[in-house]
Amino acid sequence: MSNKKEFVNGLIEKIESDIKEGLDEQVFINDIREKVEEYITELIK
Amino acid sequence: MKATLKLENIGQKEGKDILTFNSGKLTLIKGRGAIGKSRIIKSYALVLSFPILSRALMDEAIKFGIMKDAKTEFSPLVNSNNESAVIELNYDDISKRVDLSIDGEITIDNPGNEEFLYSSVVMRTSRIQENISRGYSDFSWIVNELSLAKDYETVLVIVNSYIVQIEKKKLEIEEIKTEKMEITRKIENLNVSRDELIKEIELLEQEISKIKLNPELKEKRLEIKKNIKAFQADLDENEKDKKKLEKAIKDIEGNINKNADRIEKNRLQIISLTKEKEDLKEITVEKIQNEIIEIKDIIAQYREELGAHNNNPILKLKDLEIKDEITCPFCHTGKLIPEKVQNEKEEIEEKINEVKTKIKKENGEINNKKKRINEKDKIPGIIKEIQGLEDESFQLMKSSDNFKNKIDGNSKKIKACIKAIYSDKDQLKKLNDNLAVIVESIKKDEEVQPLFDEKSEIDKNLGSVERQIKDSEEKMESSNIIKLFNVDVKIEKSSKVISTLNDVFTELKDHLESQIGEQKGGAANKFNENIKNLIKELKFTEFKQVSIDLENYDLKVIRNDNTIQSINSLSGSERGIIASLLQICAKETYLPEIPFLVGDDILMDIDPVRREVFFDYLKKLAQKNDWFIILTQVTDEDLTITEL
Repeated sequence: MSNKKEFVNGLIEKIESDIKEGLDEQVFINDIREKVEEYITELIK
Repeated sequence: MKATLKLENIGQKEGKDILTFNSGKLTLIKGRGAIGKSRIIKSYALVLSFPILSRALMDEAIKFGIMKDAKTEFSPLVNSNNESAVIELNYDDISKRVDLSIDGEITIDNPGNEEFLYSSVVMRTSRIQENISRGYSDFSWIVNELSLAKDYETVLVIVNSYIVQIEKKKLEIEEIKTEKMEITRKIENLNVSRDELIKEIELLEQEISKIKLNPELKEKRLEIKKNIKAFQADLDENEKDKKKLEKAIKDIEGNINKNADRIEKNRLQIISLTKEKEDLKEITVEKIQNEIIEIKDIIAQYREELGAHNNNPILKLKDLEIKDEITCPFCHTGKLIPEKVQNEKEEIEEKINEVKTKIKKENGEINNKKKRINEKDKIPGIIKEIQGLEDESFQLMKSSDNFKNKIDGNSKKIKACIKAIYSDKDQLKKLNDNLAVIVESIKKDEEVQPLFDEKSEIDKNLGSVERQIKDSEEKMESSNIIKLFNVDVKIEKSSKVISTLNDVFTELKDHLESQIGEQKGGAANKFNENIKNLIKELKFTEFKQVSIDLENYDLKVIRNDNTIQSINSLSGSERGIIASLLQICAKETYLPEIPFLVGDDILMDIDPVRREVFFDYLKKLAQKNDWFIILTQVTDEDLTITEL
């Protein structure tokens, strides 16, 4: 997870799958914020 | 393939209608104005597009008259004399049913595709028709809305907001780092000054010690100084302990307050639940049933009133054109005054709406009463909830008692600390007094006096420098943490984190921009290719090409002499042709999998020769794709449905 490439690919995968399934903007915003917070926590460990 | 459309209470027509259509045909629904042609097209539009979630498409649906806007009270599709309506469509092995209520609520058992509205419904008010007739050349919206570009753009806005926040945080980190560097420099300079002052003091003390002093006094002074140092250390330790204990008490008090708040909350909730329980005990099925019967009587009265209004002969005049004073069509004797008739009609319609609203309210009241009967079952649950709250409050009170005991223990320890502090201070005062007496005695020596004065001055400066060092170190400590997206990050790690996040979101931005470009370009290319074939098929000689520019997504028309024209410079008839071309092309390009293309009152602006060419093309198109193409056409006759 702390690998940058892995994190970017994970986010791209999420964007593509959310758009494919019909994007819910508010849910997407919350998910991204959660993922970014988790990623920062990993980075500072 | 056959399509069966069942309509119940749709538009001006009450009751049921069953209409059958064949695929591979162009079907024309012909008839006079206001005879019920449009309701068929609107029914197709709703059943094949609902649910509609995009704001832009919702506006389109309101314009088409298939959904109500926030300001309107009643559904535009439900017959005004009825509470509800139904649309059912069956084709191939697909079955769809839409239920509509008079207040605008819509439910569907098998969802459609909202993009059907842009691509497959042609009305004078549809966006392509309106844009072309107004001469707007910007068609970026169509490649956006009918591809995934709109979703990628939504995500891009979110990603850009992160990039902006990252930039702000970068600046904030830089500012904090600069400030920390300044503080570090300041501390270094202060340390140098402190070392210099200590050195000066040492030199002075050496000088003082060289001068012959009473050896007893000298020894006593050293001993007192040693004791002062020891008591000072003890005092510092005791004050530190006292502060720690005071903080602990404050934290415990906070917990006690939290418990007290929770207990109070529970108490109020218990009162409210007990009342609810008592109220529920009072409920009797018989009483509520009597109340429901009373309400039903009131509704029956309203319905009678509604019937009287609906049967008012004035309402039957609604299809007549009342332009001049005419003889009353009912009694054939009196004269009707148009303005008066119109006013009276409006008043009756207003009364009908008022009565309907009252019936709806009373029906709602009946539902509430019915629910109330079942609410009695809630009593055991409420008793359990009250018990739970009481247990929780009891545990909280017990926990608060433990906290209070801890506070008592800590208070005793604080008292002991205070006692020790007083004792230390007392000792220090005595020692300092003794030292002062000795120093005074030493000072009496004229040679030593100026050295002591100088030393005292330097001591003062040293104290000030040490205070400044302490303040700067505290400031340094407080600026050690920064919040990055709700996570506390140490400042020395923050630059690396923010730079990584910047790389992440920049990469995401590049990906999204490339996807948007691909989506828009792909949609525009597909559209251009189809419209090129369409012009060729229709053998239109005045236009060489109509295309969406791949740079700015403007619609351009290229004539046979290679001159490029924008939409607003075309004639009205040419615009009509272009709008129809685009609409057919949008259907072929973006939603060919839904086999319906419906249009209401279109192609009328185009000259009869061109219209025939379009009809021929649509016939072939329906045949080629096995589509249902259904259009309305205004004539002077009764309603007929013809297949071509």
